[in-house]
Amino acid sequence: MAKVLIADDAAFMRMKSAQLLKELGHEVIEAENGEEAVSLFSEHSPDAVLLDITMPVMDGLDALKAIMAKDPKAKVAMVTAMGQQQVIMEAIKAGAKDFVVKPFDASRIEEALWKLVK
Amino acid sequence: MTDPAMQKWADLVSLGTANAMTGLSQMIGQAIEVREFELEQVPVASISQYVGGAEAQSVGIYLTVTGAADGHLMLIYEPHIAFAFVDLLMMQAPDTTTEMTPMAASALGEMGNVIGAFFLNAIADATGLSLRPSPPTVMTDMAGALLDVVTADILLYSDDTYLADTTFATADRDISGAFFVIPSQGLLEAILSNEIASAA
Repeated sequence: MAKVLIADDAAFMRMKSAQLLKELGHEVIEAENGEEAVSLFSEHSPDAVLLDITMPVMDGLDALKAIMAKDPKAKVAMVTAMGQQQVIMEAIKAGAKDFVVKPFDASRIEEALWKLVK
Repeated sequence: MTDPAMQKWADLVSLGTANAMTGLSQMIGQAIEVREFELEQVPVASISQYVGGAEAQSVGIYLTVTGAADGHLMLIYEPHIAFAFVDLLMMQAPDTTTEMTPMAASALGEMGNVIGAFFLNAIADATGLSLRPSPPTVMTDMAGALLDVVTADILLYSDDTYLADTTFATADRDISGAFFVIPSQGLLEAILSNEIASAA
């Protein structure tokens, strides 16, 4: 079982992701934007982070950089519909370990999580 | 806009729209049939005619485009169509959703996020420009009021705009809707100059 932080501004997506992760036996922490994700990362030290990119207050790429600055060994995957090559490269350079393009299958999230916490 | 520039814009919007419909199809688990795709230069003041008139009660999902240039993306549906999408997204039986709850609005917002992002992904990858969607805003109001958000910005520099209007439907549910792409002058110039440069 892993402690997983999910950050997405859409309550609908947080509900879907949390339901899936809990069914897999994981503990879930939810953030509504990038700023909250960075704060909850510091507070809970999760085993893995699933970050949306398009979020208000602080977007996922800035949150990724802030999290990696706090902990260079943080295990973060981006989960986003923003599948542009430039965005993928920026996320990978900033330390993301995986890039899941929405809309996703449950198996793709399982695979990403397995890669992060193996 | 010159005819060659209009053709290039039409090609890019068509490419982006096809990708957007792919994203929607994946999200709702249904095949999407694009029934109509029109790109026209229209007076800004007449846009609401394309959604059944200014006073038609509608649900709008609105995103701005940021990055290399700005623009507007808007999906507009009659309320019962928006609720049918919510039922598909939440894997509910038809006619389960009858009002706009916060979770229904969130589901529609996420649908707008996927459609907008897939549209911009295709154009960004074709032109090399960085184009990002804002977080979506879901609004219920008269169509004219929804479109005021967009037209107020466009009227600052032009009486006309280039409206891409796509009507689509799913195979087994009576769902159709309009997807409007309304570029700012800056977005048109950035996309066309980049696309033309990359094709040269």
